[in-house]
Amino acid sequence: MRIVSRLDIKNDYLIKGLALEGLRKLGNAKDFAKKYYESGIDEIIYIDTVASLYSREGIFKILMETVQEVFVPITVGGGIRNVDDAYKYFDHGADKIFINTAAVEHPKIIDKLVNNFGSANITLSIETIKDQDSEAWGVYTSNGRDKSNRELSEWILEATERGVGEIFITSVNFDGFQKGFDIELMSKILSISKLPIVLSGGFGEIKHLEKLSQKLSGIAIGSSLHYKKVEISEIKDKLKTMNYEVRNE
Amino acid sequence: MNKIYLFNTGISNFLSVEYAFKELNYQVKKISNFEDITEESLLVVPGVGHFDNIMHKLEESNFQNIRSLIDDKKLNFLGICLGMQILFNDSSEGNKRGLGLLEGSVKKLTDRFYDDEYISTNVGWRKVIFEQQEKFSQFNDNFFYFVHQYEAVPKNENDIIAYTQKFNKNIVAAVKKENICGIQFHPEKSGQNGIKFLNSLIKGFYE
Repeated sequence: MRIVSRLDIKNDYLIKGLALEGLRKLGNAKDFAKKYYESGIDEIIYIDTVASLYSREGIFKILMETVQEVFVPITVGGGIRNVDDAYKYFDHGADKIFINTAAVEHPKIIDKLVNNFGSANITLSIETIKDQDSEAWGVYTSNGRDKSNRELSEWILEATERGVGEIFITSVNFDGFQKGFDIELMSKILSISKLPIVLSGGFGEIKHLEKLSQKLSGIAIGSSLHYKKVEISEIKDKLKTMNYEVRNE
Repeated sequence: MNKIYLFNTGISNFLSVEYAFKELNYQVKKISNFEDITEESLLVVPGVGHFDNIMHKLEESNFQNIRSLIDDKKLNFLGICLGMQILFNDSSEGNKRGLGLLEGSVKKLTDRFYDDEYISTNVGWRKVIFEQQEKFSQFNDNFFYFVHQYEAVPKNENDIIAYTQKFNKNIVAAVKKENICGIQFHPEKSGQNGIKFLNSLIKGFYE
């Protein structure tokens, strides 16, 4: 089980809010990433929340600084519209990239990315909300703002067919609340997909780990690390007692 | 210490690799044409990318010019991830021939891992076993970071120096034959332990 630190970025800043609405500035993103690296984090994911709206200079700067001092994988995404955008992220220090909005709108971009960078290095990010009336899991884009016309199962099958290497899935309505993971979503996605799954949204305290499945490849943690509610070592210790294979140095 | 050249495949995570070497106080020189290599040195080919894509880039960059340096043991070769896979004859990821510096093929993980033992992408931190490798015994059973969908299947088992296990099957983690070495995992992304391993690896070439 990988512990992934999720850092939502706006310009140079780490931000965090609720349900992907990042409102509060928490500080320099690289400083947080470095601190987590030194505490034993397994992977960093940088999510540029405004790249599709403005320029990417902020995230490039953070990446270039982070890669000099952080020697665990750094996955980056936000606003990738084409193969060139992906190249630029790799050029500035990304080890792996993720896509969401552009793939939902033009799925053929997945094929192109796979042909350039190989499947293993392309992560599909999915933001999902369960519709209370129809009970269907909707696929959202642009940080949970826009509902697409896609349904979760159908979308995962198509993206898998096109070659994404893993799935990073966020339960939008659980994000930031620290009330526990969306276990219903976890069960749902594990029944749909055999790709490696990283589950994001809702972690707040150690006991939330108890409901996780051994089939997950990783969990992503944001607020509870940023606000120092839990330590990475506590998470790993707990997972070890539950017989997960967890990295230690 | 001889020079270290880092091949700029145009696609890779070369910054991560470059800074890992810097962390060890090695200066690396980025190259995109092999004609620039004329002396004894270490050539590092980083990973990330598609087999055909990187082979195309190697062809464009006059790789043939340095084959004799490798054959004469004047040039040490270190391939990471995809940089390791291209050492073999071919890969089911693409149609191009590999470098053929080691005998064997590269195959999709799903050829061997399917149904209940399904693995499409082997991603995450895995324990690596360095069997009977005194040089690397201190790293035995340590965790390293993997991310790949294809695996090396060397013809000669003696070329395998390390492996990791999933569902009780071995997956090749490292190969070495004289001055040619390939690593499936990413030492540059495996924490301080990965950096230490990289250092042992470099020193291993010059002992």
